[in-house]
Amino acid sequence: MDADNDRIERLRRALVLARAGLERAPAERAAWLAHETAGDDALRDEAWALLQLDGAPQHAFERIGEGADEPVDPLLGSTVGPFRVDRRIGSGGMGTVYRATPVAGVTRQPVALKVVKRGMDSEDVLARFMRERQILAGLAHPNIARLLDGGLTGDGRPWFALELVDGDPLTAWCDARRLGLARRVELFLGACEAVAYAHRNLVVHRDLKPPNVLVTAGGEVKLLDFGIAKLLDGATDATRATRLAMTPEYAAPEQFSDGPITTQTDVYQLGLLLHELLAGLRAQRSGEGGNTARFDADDDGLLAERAAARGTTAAALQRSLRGDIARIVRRAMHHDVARRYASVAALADDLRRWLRNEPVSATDDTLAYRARMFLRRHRAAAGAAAAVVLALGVGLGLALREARELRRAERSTENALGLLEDVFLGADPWRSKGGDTRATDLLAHARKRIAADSAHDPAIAARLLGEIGAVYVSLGDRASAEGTLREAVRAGELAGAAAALQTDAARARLAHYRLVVDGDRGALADLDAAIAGLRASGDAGRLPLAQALEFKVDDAFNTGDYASIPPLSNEAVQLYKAASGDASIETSGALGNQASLLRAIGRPADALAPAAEGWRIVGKLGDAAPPGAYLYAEQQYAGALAANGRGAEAEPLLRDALSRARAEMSTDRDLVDGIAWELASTQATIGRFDDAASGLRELLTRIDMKSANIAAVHNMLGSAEFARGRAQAAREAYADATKLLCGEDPTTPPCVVVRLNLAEALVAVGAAEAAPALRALDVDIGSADGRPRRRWQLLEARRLAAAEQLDAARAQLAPLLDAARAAPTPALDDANVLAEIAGIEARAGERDAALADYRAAERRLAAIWVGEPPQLATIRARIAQLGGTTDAAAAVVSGP
Amino acid sequence: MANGAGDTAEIEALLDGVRNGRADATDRLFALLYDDFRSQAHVLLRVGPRQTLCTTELVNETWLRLSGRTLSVESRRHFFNLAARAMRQLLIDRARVRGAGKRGEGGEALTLGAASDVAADEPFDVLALDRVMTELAATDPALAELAQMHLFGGLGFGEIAELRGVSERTVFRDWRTARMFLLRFITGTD
Repeated sequence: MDADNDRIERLRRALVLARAGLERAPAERAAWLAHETAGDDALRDEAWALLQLDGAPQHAFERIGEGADEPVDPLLGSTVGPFRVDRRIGSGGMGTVYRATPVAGVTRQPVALKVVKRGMDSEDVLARFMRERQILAGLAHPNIARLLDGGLTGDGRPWFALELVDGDPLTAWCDARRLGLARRVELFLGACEAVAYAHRNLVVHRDLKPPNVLVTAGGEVKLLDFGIAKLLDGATDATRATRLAMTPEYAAPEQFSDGPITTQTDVYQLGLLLHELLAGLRAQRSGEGGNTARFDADDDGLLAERAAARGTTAAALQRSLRGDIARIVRRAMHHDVARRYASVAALADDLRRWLRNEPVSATDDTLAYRARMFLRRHRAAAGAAAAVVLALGVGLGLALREARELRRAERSTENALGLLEDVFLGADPWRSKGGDTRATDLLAHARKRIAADSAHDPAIAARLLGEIGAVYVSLGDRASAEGTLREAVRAGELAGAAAALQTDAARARLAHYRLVVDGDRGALADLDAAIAGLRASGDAGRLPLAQALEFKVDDAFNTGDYASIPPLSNEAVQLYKAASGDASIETSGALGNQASLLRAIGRPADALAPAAEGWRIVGKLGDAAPPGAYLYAEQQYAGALAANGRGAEAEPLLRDALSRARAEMSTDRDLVDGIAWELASTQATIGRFDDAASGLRELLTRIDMKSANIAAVHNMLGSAEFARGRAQAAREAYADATKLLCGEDPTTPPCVVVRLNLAEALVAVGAAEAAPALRALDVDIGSADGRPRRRWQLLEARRLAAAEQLDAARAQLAPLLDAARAAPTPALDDANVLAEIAGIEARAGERDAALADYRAAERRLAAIWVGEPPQLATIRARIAQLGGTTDAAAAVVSGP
Repeated sequence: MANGAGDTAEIEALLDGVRNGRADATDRLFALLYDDFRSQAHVLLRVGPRQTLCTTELVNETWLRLSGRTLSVESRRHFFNLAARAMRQLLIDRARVRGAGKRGEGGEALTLGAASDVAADEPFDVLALDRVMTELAATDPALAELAQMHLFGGLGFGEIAELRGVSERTVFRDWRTARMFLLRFITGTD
């Protein structure tokens, strides 16, 4: 009896420990457990044995509650719509799927018929079912099972018919055919295309798992089951119902934690699917809904089996599953949304690069990630109206810098590898390791060799390790970079004065990580010490010194110490000039960096000169300039021009940049889309609304980015359409932007901006919703006295004037008039206020006042826009009606 | 449905009794549910081409007959708890009867549904599961109740979370804990 009680008590304690252990990262569990059990080895072993079973494959007993064919199903053999129900092929939470054949018709192609389960027709389930039908109706893609028909059964249950997919889960299909990794990735790309297509249609699948990704006998990938898909339309989600239906094994962390569901939720699930497809087993579940990749199998027998299913050997499979492909999978299934691929397209791009043996973007810590974090921190400060636009613009600038860094990395990889090849690796390292070798593997190999041999010639080792570290930095592989740089410092200290320069350069980079990426202020002293050391190195230290100064600029930017940026940046530029030449690529890049920083800290006028100089340099270099460097300079100059009200000059540059990017860097879609976006934005500000609208529409057909960015494009499209006089189209575009942006909090500054835009379109089309929309905005804007309030007053005045309440309209405009009439520089808002009051004055018979205000509005618009957009044409027509002459009419001698 | 579990008014009255801690009400409701499941399971098993049993659907069918009324969370928890227990009992009894008929003592290999991602016809020992569940109940009754609701009552984690008034995350973590225990001992490697 006592023995039994003892045993149960021991089990109870083991269970408590195992449960607590679940909350620790798998790697920490063993040590933690040893500490907790403090010498009680039996207890430790018991708890450990339990913990080992977390994440084990499903055991048959877990299926005890599920059945298959329901034998007494009245639908079998009956007719539903134009189909006869043949047999049941599956059953989900809310619906049953049958195989059915058309009763009439030529093809008699069988279909999949989904019917709501009897007794499950609660409002919630019905809504979900109808939503799936609605979602499918909007999707037409070769990799998505197509919706064919829909209706109600005899007893009133809704049904719909889908293309019947006769296939196997992607994973099983590939295993059965013993496909290699490359072929698997190619098939997987088909699934990516389907998911990316759904995302462009604002649908998130969020239940991607092997049974839902089938491959037909003909090798076509088909995506199924949008049963818990979510429309990114801001509508509230049937959370409870969908969470009941989610598949815990394949759920993203945010699905457990009730975080926002975005297109990146699907990226996560695709990552898990890819992991399973390549490694042959599900990723290890770890902690709160996260998963850890497990490519390094610990069971030789299993590994050999999986290798055989991939037509290769165990050793070759393990080798292939390291390196870039593992990084891609890890980035896709990163538990931190910010570090995951931003889109399915980005994941697919990397996979394509991997297939072509090109360097991939997946890294463990990238500059783009830093840029996003920076934007997140500074969004509040960025100002209301410009927040979304700025996010795109500044993000783009940083992304370009990153791209430039990458290209620099390629060259320095070549340099480093050239040296390595001679010194360490013998004649032909590529051949000796086989054709599948990737540069990063080689780099890792070299690093190991050099570090092991560093005592032999520490000075050379310090230099080479410094170079390899720099490559890792640029590749964004922080862990390897820090490790290598520390080895460089160690070797450098061994070498003493002979490698002082390399040691300080490595120290500066190490400090940069801690200071800028981690925000560890303690590293500032290290950076300053390294800078002092580099200054003492004289001419030879100029390039690393310039780089270290740029690190300091990064820190100043992050901490908001804007005043110290210009002198530091100037010094860096001078150093680049001295070290690489006045007209070198390096100098052009540094000038571009300087210009982008000056723009970002609100000194656009100062950005113009360096941007122009950088642009002149690449122009002179011509074909000698790499395309990336050329584009960077062109982009920075165009950006500086646009920021100084010289959009008309920027526009042709951006056109040129776009066609170059499309021709020479078409694989870099972020770059191409980013430039297309800047071009359209610039066109919209200078009145080329037709061009802007068509560019934006094209962007929307291809773009696959975060919803906030899609919202920005929709919003800009709305503005372009509105300015073209197409208020209804504008209303639709603004409504899309609002849905995307205002999901959780309709009072955020960007949301208020798009709601004001929407209200403007509503007023223009005379919609009844205009009045309630403005009332809601009035409340949400509150007492803040900024641009949103002024725009609100103008819109309210427009609405009142349209409703013949002229006095009330005047009262709204009154506080805006003085400023609008007196403004020294032409502004769109002022022109709108002036045109509005002019219209009211005209209707009240105050001809002279109306003419004066119309003319003032005309002057402002003509100064902002090129050509004659509809709004300007309307104002000129009004002036003519009132019997006045316009500036345009006065300038043109002949007329109709 | 024929042979339904009494009428809904009776069940509601019994649930009230259960809530007030009346043991006789618990026993009576358990018996009602057991009979109800047995009568329906009988039909399913006799008619089906393969001998399959879908306990989740049975429990849900029974619940749906009641769900026209609005019952308190507490009553629902009692209901599903009892229903899961009754279902477990039914499966065990059937296994025992079969086993005794065929080969004296020992467990029956119950054929499970041909769900796509689990090997069809993969047998397992219901009685072994029952033994491990009993062991879990002795070790941690709350975990055992959760596992029973999930496995035999067919409730999802979200539903259980609602019934227990805790977060779904907690339920999921508890389930993982219970599952480790069940996996550890169901294979007999104690």
